[in-house]
Amino acid sequence: MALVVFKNWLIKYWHWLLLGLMAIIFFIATASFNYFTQSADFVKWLSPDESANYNFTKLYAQECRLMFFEKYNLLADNILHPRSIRSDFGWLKPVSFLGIILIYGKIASLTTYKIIPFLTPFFAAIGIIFYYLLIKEIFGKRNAIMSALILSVFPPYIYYSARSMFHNVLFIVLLAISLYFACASVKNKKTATDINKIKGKAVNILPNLFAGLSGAFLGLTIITRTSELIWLIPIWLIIWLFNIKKFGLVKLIIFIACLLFAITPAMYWNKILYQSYWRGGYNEMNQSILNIAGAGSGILKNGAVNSAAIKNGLIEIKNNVFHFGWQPYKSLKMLYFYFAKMFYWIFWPAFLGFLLLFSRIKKWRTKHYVYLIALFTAAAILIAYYGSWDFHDNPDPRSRTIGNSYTRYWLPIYLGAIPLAVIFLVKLSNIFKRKILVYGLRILMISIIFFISIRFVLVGSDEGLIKSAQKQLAVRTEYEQILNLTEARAVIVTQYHDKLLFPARKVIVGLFDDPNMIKEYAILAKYLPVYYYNFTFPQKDIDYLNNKKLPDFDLKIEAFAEVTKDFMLYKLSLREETIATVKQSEE
Amino acid sequence: MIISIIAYSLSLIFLLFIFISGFSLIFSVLSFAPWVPSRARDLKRIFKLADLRPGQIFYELGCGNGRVSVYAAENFNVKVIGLEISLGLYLVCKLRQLFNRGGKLEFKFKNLYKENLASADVVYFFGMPNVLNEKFCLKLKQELRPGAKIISYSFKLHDWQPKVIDKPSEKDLPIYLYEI
Repeated sequence: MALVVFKNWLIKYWHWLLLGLMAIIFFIATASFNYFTQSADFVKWLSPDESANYNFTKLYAQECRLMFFEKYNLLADNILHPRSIRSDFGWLKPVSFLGIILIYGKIASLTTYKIIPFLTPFFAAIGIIFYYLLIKEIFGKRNAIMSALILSVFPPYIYYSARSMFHNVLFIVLLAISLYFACASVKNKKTATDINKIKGKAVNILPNLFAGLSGAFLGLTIITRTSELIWLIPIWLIIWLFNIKKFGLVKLIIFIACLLFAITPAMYWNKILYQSYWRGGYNEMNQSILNIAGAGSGILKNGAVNSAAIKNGLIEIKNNVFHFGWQPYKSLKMLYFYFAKMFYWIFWPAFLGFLLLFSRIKKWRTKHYVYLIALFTAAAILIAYYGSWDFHDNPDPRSRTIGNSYTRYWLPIYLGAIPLAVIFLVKLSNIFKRKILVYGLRILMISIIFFISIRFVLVGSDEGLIKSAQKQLAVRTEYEQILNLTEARAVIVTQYHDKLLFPARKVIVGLFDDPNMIKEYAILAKYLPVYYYNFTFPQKDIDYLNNKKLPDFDLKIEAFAEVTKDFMLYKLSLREETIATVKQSEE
Repeated sequence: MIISIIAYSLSLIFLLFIFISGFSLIFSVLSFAPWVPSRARDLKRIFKLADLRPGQIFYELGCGNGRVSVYAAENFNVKVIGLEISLGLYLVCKLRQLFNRGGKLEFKFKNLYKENLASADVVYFFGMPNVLNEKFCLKLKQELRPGAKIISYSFKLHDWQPKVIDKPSEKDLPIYLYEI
C-alpha cells in the first residue's frame, strides 16, 4: 500500500524531487569554492569589487554602518583606499550599488556574518527553482525542467555563484522571482477567488499578494544593479502593456507601492553616503544622470521652437546612456566571442529553437509574444550597451575567458536563451517514435551539456574555478608574509594586492608614474611606515627612482623583503635630512 | 477526532507559550530593563572600553536579541555568556547561537541574580537607573574579582564613580566604564 502511494507520489512530483536535489547539489558545489579557499581568519576575494562588497556587508551586518573613517586621508588627498571603494573627506564608502550589501548585511545581522560568503550560492539555488516556475508558466513543465537542469550547470551561473560577492547572480535571481510573481499575478486561478470569499464577494487576495511580491522583488533587483534599469524599464513596460487589462489598476498600485518600499533602504543610505536619494557611488553614473536630466529639460524648454535643440539634446542623451561608446560592430563581435563561441552548446540550439518557435508563430499565445519581445529588447540593449565597452578583468587583454565581465553582464541573455535551446532539443528527441528512445535521447543530450558545461567552468580557461581556487590558496602565504613583515598601521602602495591587504593594512592603489601621488606618499611617510609592493624592480629602475624621480619629494626606496618569486616589498622612507627637519619642527 | 485532539493540544501549547513569553517579558522589563537593543553603531565604543583579551570571559546581563554577545563572540577570541529572562528573546538568542557554533557563545535562560559572576572579566549591561541600585552594585562588588570591568550602557551605577565616561558628542548615549 505504502509503496503504491509512494509510487504515485513519485510519478506526480518527480520533477520537484529532481529540482530540489539539483538545487541542493548546486548549493553544496558552489559554496564549496569559498568553503575550501577561505577560513575564519582569511576571507579574501579574487577581485576588488567582491572584496569591497564583503567588507561593507560585514560592517553593515555588525555595526549598521556603511562607512569607515581613515583620518590619514585628510592629509593625503583621499588616496588611501582600495579599488571599488572611494574616500570622501576621509570617509571610505562603497562605489558599487548598495543592494547586495543591504540584503546580505540584513540577513547576516540576524544570523552571523560568517554566512555572507555562502549567501549567493544559497540564492542561486533558490533561483533555479524560481527559474523553473517562471519557464513553466511560459513554455510548460517539460521545457521548464530541462531549462532548470541546464541552468544548474551553466558555466557563468556556477562561476558567479561561486565568486559569491559579485552581485550579478543575486540580481538575476531576484529578477526571476519578480517575473515569476508577475506571471502568477495575472494567471487565472479559480482557487484564488473561491477560497477568499468574504460575505459572498470574491476578493482576489492571492493575485494582489503576488503583484506586491513582484514589485518588492523588482525593487530589490533594482537596488542590486541600478544600472540595469536601462533595459529593465523597457521590458517591464512591454510586459505591462501586454497585460494591462489583466493587471488592472489595483495590482499596479500595490506593485508600485511595494517596489518603492523595497528601494527605500537604498535611497536612505544613498542620502547618507552620497548626499542625494538618487545618487550612487559611481561618479560617472551620477554625472550621466545629471547630463541626461539636463538634456531632457533642454528639449522640453527649447524643443518647441528649435529643432536643433532637440537633436543636440538627443545626442547628449545617447552619449550619456552609452557612456562607454556606441560600437555596433564591436558589440556583435563580443556577442560572437562570449556567446556563440564560448557557449556554443547553448547558442546554436537556442538559435535553431527560435527558428522552430518562429515557424509556429500562428500558434503563439500572448505570453510567447511577451517573452520573445522582452528577451530581444533586453538582448539588443545589453549587447549594444556592454558590447561597446572594453573589459579587461583578465590582465591579458587578448584573452577571452569566463572571468571577463561580459559573461556576468549578459547572464539575462543566456538565461533567456536556454528555453529556446530546449525547444530545439525536445524537437530533436521527437524524431523517435518510441517513448524510451525519446527520453533516452533527452537524457543523453542533457548529460552531454552537463559534461561540457562542468568541464568548461572548472578547467575551461585560465580563470576556471580550479585555477581560481589554486590562486586563492597560493596568495594566503603571501598575505601572511606581508602582514608579518609590516606594522599594523603601515601603508602599502600596490597595484594589484589592495583586495588582499585591505582592511588589514591601509592601502593605496598606485605606482610611481604620477608626481601628485608621489607627493602624497611623501606626506604619509612623515607619519606612517610606507611600503611599496609590486613586481620586483631591476636594479637600474631602483637607481632611476632614487636618483631622478624620488629626490624631488625627499623620498627614497629600498628593497625590504622578497615575498614571492616575482613580487618584492619595498620600503619608502624620507631621506635622512628630511627626517631631521621633521624632528626639529616637531620639537 | 484524533486530528481535532491534536489541533486543540497544539493550540493549547501555543497559547501557553504566548502566555509564558508575555509573562517573562513583563517580568524582564520590571526586573531590569525593557528590550531596547544597544545601537549597532555603539558596539565599537563598547568594545574599545572592554579591551577584551583572548581567553577572557565576557558576560552580558539581559542580552535581549543577543546582538552584543554575538558581536563579542565573532570578533574577539573570548568566551561569551549572555543571560536573558524573557523567553521569546532567549529563543531568538538560541537561534543565533546555531550560526555561532564552537562553544564560545552561550546563552542562559536565567535571572541575573541567580548567576555567579566570579569568573567574569568584563560584565556589560543596559539596565534602568532604578534597578542599578545598591542591591545590584553589591552583587557586582561581592562576586567580581579585582580588575574586572563593568560597562553600563546609558545609565550610571548607583553611587559608583565611573573610570571613564564615553560620550563623544551630544547625540551619543553615554557608556560608563567601572573597574573593581
